[in-house]
Amino acid sequence: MFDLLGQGLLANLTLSMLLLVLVGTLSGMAIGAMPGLSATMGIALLVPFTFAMDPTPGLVLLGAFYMGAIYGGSFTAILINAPGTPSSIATALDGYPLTKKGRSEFAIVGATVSSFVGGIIGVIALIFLAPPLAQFALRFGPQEYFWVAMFGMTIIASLSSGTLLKGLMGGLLGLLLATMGIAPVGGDVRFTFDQSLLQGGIPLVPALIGLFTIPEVIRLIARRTRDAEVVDADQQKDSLLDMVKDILGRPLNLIKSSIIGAAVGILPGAGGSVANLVAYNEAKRSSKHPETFGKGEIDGVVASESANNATVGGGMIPTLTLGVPGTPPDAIILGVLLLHGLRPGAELFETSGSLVYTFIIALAVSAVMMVPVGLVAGRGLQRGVMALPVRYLAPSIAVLAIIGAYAIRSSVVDVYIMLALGVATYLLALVGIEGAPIVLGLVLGVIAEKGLVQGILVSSGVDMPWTTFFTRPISLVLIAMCVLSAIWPLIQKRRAGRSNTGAGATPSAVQGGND
Amino acid sequence: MTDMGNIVGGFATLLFCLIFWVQRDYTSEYGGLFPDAVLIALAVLSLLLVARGVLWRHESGWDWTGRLTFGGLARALALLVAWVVSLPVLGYLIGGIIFFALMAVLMRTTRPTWKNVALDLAVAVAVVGVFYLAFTRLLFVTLPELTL
Repeated sequence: MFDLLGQGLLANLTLSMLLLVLVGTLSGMAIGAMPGLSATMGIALLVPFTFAMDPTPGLVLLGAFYMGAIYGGSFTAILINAPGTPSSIATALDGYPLTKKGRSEFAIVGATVSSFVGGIIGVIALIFLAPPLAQFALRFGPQEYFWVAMFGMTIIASLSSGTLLKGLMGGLLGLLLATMGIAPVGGDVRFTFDQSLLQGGIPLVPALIGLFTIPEVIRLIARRTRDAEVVDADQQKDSLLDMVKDILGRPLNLIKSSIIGAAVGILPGAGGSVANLVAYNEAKRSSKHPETFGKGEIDGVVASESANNATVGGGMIPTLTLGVPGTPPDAIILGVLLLHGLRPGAELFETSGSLVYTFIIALAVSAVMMVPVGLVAGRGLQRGVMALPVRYLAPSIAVLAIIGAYAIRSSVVDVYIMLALGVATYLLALVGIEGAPIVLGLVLGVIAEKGLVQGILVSSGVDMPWTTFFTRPISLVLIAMCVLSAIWPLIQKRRAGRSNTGAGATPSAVQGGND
Repeated sequence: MTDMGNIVGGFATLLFCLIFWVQRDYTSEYGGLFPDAVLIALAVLSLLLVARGVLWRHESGWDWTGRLTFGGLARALALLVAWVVSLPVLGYLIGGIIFFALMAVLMRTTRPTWKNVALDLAVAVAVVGVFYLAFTRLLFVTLPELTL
């Protein structure tokens, strides 16, 4: 294996291959930064260009593009509260509040360094853990996927900045929206209101833009001013090196979130959109100051970005070893492999070892390239956005939002859906039901329903099929994780309440959670 | 004293549940298992929120800190709705330039001069045009065209 790794490294150090990785990373970042153009869509657009290439450079280009696209999604999440890809949902939760505080440059640097660390750890996992982990992932049945989705839903307990009741209502609203369209099992057409375009369900990207971006655009237009500072006085004193040191001074969060990302990436169908939320929740749960999350906490950005880039390597594990794509973009890369006559499996590593390891090393080279490219491009973008007068910023965001919502299916109905969800989210936020739990429900709804119905169907031979959700060993571990994740924020609140009472807390500090 | 925010929020989500409930039309055995469970849970929580609004006196259901003036909110909603609704007719390019410029002019905090309007129009043409060219020529994404 080490011989092949060495060969892969040498192949990547040629000028032509480095240029290819640079082009792939840069174009991926550009596509990822545009709301509406997901990594999956970008890779799909790129595939025809790789037809004329040999398999190795073609796959290297796709891999670098994928890595760059996942990272690029963080730019707009941080700067305008519009996650460029679903993998950056959690990045927006703290990235945008950092921008509002005048610390967007710090957030961009944090996202860059974290994406690099996550990308590298994902690749290391791919190199050393591929075969055993891929075998383990095969033990996950529908019941386990149901519990994975429920584990994701428990994040609501920590996402709810106000009351848990309203957070749960937001999550259920998201789950309900996820049931619109054709059922994932059985094929029922549900809640389409006689609109054929709704048969495909609520499209995720227009929904993300609506739920996160439109309320901000409404506020900007109505106030005619922005909350964010152009540059805050303290921020000017922070050099790039200091910011990088600050981020690297959080090794536990970086490594833990990257491992979470790689592990979630291995589960077929989960991917970066789930990994960033799970890592964010874990970072908040284990933080000494969880109350700062959602208000501009850099650890939130670090967790989300390291996890989503780690899914790139993690998702490749089942793709290359079993032929089961870990994430949607992996499915396209799998298609390209098959197109070139390469069959995934243990045999692939033996017969085409040189190609496989060149591809794997290219992912690592791409992660390294993201640092200088991202620091220049990302910080340039940040300065541009911050310097833009608000009367041009708001319509520019609206233009991007409209294109982003429209581009996925070339459908005006998607733009209507985006606006309707955005206005509804703005109004719901007034009564304390925020957009983040709704997004969580929307993302996890399909996984949860598929797991629930398939789990019952495959156990139909058992007297009470639903009991299989509580008897399988991996399910039991996942249930324990769900319970811990759900009650942990409440325990933390109680502890904080006790220590505040003990220390003679101020009334405002105690008011925080009445749920 | 009741809490109007929670009452309004609770009734709004109850109405949402009702709209979905009357749309139920399942054809397979398990087609309604998940959505019905979600609908019932959401309805129960909505009722709890209403009850909270009626019974709990000292809870702030409205987020007063983030509220906008009625005029500001009306301006924002009118501009966005008009822009989106006119999209199939005016297309991306023409509609984009018109509403971008209109938004920029209306967001000025001082009375705009003709020079200001010309500047805002030029910025609108540049921004909307650059995005149009990038998406249609570079990324081959089709955008709505003028149909008048």
